[in-house]
Amino acid sequence: MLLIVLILLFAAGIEVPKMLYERHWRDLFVFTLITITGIVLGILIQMQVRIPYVGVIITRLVEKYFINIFR
Amino acid sequence: MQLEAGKISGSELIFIVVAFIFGSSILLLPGLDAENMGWLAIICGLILGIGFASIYTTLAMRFPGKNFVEISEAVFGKLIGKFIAVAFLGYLFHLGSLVVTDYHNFIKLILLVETPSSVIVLFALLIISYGVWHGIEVLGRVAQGMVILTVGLTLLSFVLLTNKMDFNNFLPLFDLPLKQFLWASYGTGTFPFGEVVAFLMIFAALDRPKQIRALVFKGMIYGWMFLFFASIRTIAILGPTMEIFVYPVFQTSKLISIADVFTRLEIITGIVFLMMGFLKIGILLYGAAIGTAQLFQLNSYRTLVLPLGLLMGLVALINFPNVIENIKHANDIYPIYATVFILVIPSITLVVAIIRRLPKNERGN
Amino acid sequence: MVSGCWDQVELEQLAMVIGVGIDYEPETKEIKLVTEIMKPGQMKSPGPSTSVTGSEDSEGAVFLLESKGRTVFEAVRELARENSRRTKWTHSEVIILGKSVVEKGASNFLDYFIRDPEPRPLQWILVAETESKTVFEAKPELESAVAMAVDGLLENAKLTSKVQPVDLIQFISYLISKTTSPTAPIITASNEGDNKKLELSGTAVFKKDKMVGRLNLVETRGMLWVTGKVKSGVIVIDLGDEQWNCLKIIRAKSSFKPRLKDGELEVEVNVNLITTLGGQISDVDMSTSEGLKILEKLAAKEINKEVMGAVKKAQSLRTDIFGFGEAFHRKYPKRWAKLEPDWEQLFPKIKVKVRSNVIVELVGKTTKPLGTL
Repeated sequence: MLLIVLILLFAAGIEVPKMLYERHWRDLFVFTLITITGIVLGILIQMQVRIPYVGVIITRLVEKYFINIFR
Repeated sequence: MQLEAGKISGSELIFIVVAFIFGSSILLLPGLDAENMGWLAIICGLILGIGFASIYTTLAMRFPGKNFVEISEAVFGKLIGKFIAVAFLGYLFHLGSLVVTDYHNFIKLILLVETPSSVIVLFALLIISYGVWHGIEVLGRVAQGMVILTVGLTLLSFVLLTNKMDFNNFLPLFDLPLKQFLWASYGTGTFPFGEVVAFLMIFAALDRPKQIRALVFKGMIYGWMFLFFASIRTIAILGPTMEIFVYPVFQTSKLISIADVFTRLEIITGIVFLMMGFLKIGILLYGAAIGTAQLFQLNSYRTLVLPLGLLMGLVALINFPNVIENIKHANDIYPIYATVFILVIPSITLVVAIIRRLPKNERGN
Repeated sequence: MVSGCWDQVELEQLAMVIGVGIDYEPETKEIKLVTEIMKPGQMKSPGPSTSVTGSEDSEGAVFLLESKGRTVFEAVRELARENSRRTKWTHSEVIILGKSVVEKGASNFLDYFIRDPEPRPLQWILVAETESKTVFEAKPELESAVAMAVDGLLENAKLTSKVQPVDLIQFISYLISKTTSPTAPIITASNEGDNKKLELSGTAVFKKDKMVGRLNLVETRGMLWVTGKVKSGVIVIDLGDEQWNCLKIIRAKSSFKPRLKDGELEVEVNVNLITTLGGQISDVDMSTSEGLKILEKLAAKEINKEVMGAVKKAQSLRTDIFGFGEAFHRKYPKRWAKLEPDWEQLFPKIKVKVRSNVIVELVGKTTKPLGTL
């Protein structure tokens, strides 16, 4: 939902000035990174683009390397 | 450490551990696959959990006041250490999203049927992020209150349901294929007991590092006790019908009915489940945030809490295409996947640390 | 919380379903639902004052709504077409299975009620030997709704112990068991004047989820003796010569033990009762020590008769309504694997032995019966 994006921007609005003010560049960098990932992901989900399902990825990984453990 | 470490006391740690164990296991009962031997599977799970805990608590106690990212960097060197830490944090993050997925399914089924998924997840994570943002002390204090409430409620429900219990449901004993039982027990070892490994990020905040192991064990045992009662209650009441219900413990609380007055108490139970879940997600989020901040040598983890939290929620939405994949993952895949982080990584870290005689200070090497 | 907005429903927008009847039409393969919906504000508490005039009262606190569908859930949704409000199932007390449903097999019809989180798992399950609508058309005197009346009837059932109330969860656990047969009370609405009167008239016996026979009230009590569910009631003892004595059950405890003797399946039933003298139609003064002992023996014989009656009926239908199978499973888990698949053939061959022990503790307020004065 667009809400997600809005909220993230809102959060950004609160946090960013603090970071800029105190010159915590690193913080800002990581924060922006994660936030942008969030926004992108949110938009993708909203547009119902088929993203690979995380849980299923792990399922496949485990299945591939641990076939012998299978009951 | 430059990050606001926060300080929590020993008893607060115990409460948080208990809340963590309750977290999502009160929704889906561990040991379900062992049917009427579930109670024994939970006992075995506890033993396994304590076994796992001895490894990572030893590690934590060797490096007092340091969280896993720091430990990993110290033991494996900056590059590999960071790499392993990233994997560990990834596990915490994904675990968090799994718990969110579980709770989202629960909320969607029972409470808010028509609310769109994203809204449920969003608001839940907003609240959780807010709590975590305030720091671990807050989580500790909240955990204290909520756990006491939860425990009281669990005991109360147990008492209120005694009229519906049929202890014949526990017989016949040992009628189960051994393989099934062993797998269920191991499953309980990883979920929920093994997951306490996440606390490797939290031990740093403890003001008495020497007691880590004792405190964790205590917390596990208390957490186990109430899980045990929940399991007994569920088996005694539902018996063979246990396997068709997705949320068996919740189902039992739906059956509370005394004198036609005390009915429909399942709402309170539901709320309590939610609270525990929030705490569990909160702890995982805290771990992920602190870890990430540590990795990048940031000044504060606070700024990352909300974005990470929301990201966790988003991932939760795309974890599985349907509930069946979720169940399959939880039953077959998760125990193996989790073992890597609960057992393998801590053991290797510990072994390497011992070999390299770290930390150097006490040894005087 | 803001996030609850989507699911927010005001009370005035709801139609509370308190009872539902399910029927099946084989020709159209459709399911018919009859729901009894409560009109809030009209539910009068039981009392003589307001229910005197017929017509005003029959405006009633409930109304019936029917719908059809190919599945139960479709029919549930179809209710919305004739309803100005949204149906809410969280207060449903009673599910009545019509004749057509139990003939076809009840489990498919019940799936919705256990899968969807709205309906309560503690709803009572009853069987009607007609269309379930007939039951809902009854107008109970003291209650404002059929569902409430049925609930009351089932509550009172323990006074005679001739009916075994069954709720949805219990019924499902019967269905899950591979050997125990489900049972459910039968409710009939019989005509009396221009009103239909509600009555619990026996027990329906199922094989898997299809009804295959019934137990009358006495046989039902026989079953309850075995399963230990008799709480209260009356035992009538025939002394011959139109003399009857009556014992009031104060406390009853029974148990059954399975036994495997030389490959023969046996069940030993033990019934223990504490009673007092109820009213009697008899000139004979039994309030002597010997007299009481005679009553105790005769009562025990009566109970044995009732138990064997139930056992015979169950065995003739090849339905294990007592849970003997599960008992054998618990006691002889290793041999059970061989016994279980043939249970339908093995059950009728079980030798059931009954031993009843009746104690008459008190004799009521008087000793000598009025008939002897």
